[in-house]
Amino acid sequence: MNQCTIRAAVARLKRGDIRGLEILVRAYQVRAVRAATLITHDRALAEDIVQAAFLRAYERIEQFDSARPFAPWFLRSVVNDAIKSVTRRRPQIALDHTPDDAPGVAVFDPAPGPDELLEHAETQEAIWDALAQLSPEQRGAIVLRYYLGFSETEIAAEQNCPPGTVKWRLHTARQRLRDLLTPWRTAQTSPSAEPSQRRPQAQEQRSS
Amino acid sequence: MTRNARSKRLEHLIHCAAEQAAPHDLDLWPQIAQRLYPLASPAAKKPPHRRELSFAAIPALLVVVVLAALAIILAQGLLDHNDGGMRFAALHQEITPTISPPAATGVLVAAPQGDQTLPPSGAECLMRAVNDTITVRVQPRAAGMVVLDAGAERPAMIRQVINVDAGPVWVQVEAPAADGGTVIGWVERDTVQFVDCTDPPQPHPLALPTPQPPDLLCERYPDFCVPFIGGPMFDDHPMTLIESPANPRAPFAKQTQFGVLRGLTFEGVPWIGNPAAPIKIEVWIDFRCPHCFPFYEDVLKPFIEQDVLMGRGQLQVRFVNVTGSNVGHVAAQTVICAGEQGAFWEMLDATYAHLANADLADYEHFTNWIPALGDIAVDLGLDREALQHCVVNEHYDGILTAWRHVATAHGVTGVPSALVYDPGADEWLPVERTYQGLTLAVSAAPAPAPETALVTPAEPTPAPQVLTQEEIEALMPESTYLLRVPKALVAVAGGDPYTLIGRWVDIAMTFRTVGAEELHIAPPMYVVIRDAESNLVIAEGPQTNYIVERTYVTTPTLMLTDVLVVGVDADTLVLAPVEADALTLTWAIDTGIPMTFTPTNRRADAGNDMNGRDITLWGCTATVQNGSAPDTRPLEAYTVATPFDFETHKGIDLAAEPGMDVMAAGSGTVIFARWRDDGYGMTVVIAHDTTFTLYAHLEGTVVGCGDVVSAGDVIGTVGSTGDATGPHLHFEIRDEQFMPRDPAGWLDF
Repeated sequence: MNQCTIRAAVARLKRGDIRGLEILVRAYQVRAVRAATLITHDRALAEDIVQAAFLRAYERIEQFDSARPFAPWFLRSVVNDAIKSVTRRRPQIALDHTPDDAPGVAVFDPAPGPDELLEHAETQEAIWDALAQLSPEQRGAIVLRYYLGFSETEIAAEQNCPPGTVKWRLHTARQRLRDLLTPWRTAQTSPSAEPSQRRPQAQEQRSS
Repeated sequence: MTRNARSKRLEHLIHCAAEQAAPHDLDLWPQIAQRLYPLASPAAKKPPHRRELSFAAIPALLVVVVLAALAIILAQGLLDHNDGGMRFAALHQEITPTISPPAATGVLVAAPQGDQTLPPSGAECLMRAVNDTITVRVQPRAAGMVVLDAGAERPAMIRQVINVDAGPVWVQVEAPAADGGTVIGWVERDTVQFVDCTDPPQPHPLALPTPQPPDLLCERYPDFCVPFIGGPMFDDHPMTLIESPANPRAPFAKQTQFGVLRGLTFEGVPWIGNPAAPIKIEVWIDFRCPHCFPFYEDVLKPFIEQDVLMGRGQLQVRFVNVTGSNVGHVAAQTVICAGEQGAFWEMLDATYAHLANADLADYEHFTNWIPALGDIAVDLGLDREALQHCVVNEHYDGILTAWRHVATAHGVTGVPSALVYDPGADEWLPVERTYQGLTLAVSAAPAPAPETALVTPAEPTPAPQVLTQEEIEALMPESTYLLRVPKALVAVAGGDPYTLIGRWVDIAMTFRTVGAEELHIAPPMYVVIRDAESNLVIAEGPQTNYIVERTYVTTPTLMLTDVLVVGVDADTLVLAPVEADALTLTWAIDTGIPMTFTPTNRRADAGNDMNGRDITLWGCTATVQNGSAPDTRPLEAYTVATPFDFETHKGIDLAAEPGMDVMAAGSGTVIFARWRDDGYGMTVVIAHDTTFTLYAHLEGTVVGCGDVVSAGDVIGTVGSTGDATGPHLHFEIRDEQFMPRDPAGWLDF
């Protein structure tokens, strides 16, 4: 669906025409539910969140500046709601690891193995498991950055925190993903590969 | 692998995980539409005697359902779900309280009938369908719900069709339940077929109705149908453009039996009543404050009917939105906008009447409230489109903001508030906001002026040419002001400037007219200033050149200050804003005080033509002649460098070539043409009929005090004298009170 259609839909909605909302729902519901599910790990809850977000968009469309794109405005509210919903019901778990010495370390490289398909399927499971163990905020940052394609600056503006915090949150999230995925990766590859895999990272740390 | 590649890889993984999270053909719209419906429909009010079966109630209901039927019925219900491609559309399941347990917890879905056609929807046609019978089936709303006789077809009666104007249309049907009771449910219009609907296709649900010529019905609102006399300061005010004494909106208004008129104050506040009555009342209200409804119904309305419209007082109404409610804000704007069509008082009354009977929960959302206001306006015979345009474009947002400041200045701390004007002190005093309080205030006021005065509003009494001292004093009685002023600002005429007497000084100041041969706008006065505590005279003497200004300072830091600035001989004696900080006064001294020439107890003259009057400004006294409203731009070529801002820039800066001719913006009399030390540089001021124009930073001037000029006459040349960073004309338009007005509002810069 192109941007003109979306703009027209927003304009209709601003006039109070609910059919505009229908277009927006159809355009963004899948991405929104997927993003929310990645954060909540609960599809039904994610759908609830997205429904509520669309309703809220309808109620608040007057505040929306038509000159701006609709998707970021809407999707970031979904992500925020998803984070809030898990944060509220989350038992007290301290998830933020003490980070490594330097920021800016890139994520672990799950080097593609010979059996690409099998690896792919197992990687997916692993990434779900790994995501599940991140804090909701970390999941939110990962989803915004790597699924919805927000820049770090946009995430910072959205979450109303300094860019440094976002960088840090992404960094720790990546770090943690790496840690969580490591056992899986180690099982898939030769243990002897480990030192050589890690070395370049260490170099990168120094150079960054 | 580079960091970029690793990022890509992670992105890929997350995308893969996301695809697992939800299928691509997911569709939330039906659920959202259902949840949206209560928000979008202005007619979603539910019958009070029925209770809604909410999702939360379903588990409780389930336990009483015959469990044995569960498997069969559920299966049947699910089958029905897909039957004939019908959509699940019902939103609310309502049951009569008499049914216990409910016969059905499902959803009514109307079934199409073969012999029915489906023409384009038409509101009237749909409304005619009420009481028609259609066939419906009760369906389970979701898996897990139990319906006793799901799928059985049964006739149902259409109880109501709602939301026909705003869409989507919903049909409420009532069908017999299996146990002999009744089940009521909502069905989406698309699933119901209506016969004999021949109405033409309806316009867009939100399209404005065809504008009708406004026809204010005097017979419906006879009370408010009184002549409109406009406003002294608002000749270009939208209200006065649409309704004026020459073009009354209520041509068959009852005549001024009690001298009752309508108009606008110089601040644009609508008033009604007898302008010659001895009492003015100001009421502050809102449309969402809980106490405002009983106040309007039980206090204000009776007071209007029994006192104001009987000529015993003049009432003005202002709105201040203390609840922060959007509904209140929109309503206030709508009522003021209705004033453009001559129906401020009617709309005020109708809006309160409507709200008093409305369920305010219905108006939590704009989409419900704005159409309701539109309906009220249409009922009154107003032009809905014009009204909507005025409201949507927030024409009066600025006025409402200004009023909020004025409310603080008047000491209004909440709504509703009622104030009475005290002409002696020139201030508004709070009175008890009860009918008794208001009528007592009216009773306490002196008797009304004779009838003859009531029907000739706002015309200045011709001044006698010669008056004795006693006659003048009788006309303009001695006025005493008790002031608290910062010490630094008390200066004694002829003595050392700014004699310090203490940190603050309370003084009593008396004005008394003396020795005037002609009562004009600036009569000579004898001023006595004494220490209020010790009664010692600080300064006294005849003054022929003085200024008195009472104004509301609207800068945030000074908002609360009701300022009285008094100067004698302009630069030698300056008194006070009351309890203002010293900085303000220093500013007042240093920059030249905006001066007016109306003593406070002669303010009734405000709004009158200055032609023929003696005006004194900064040492120049002249009789105004040839005055007419500014209608000519002062420069032929210019660029607007700095626009007007009431608080920071009292004029408009027009950048232009140095030496370019500056022309009089209108015909009038030069009332000042000299250098000013306050940053204005070489300055010319022209007095017109009801305004002044000021031209500053001139390179030079070719006119002098008292010169009579015509619009377009050259009065000087563009320069950069005074505090100017480059050649430009600083151009101001000031009203009779010497209050700055936006020149762009007059001359379209």
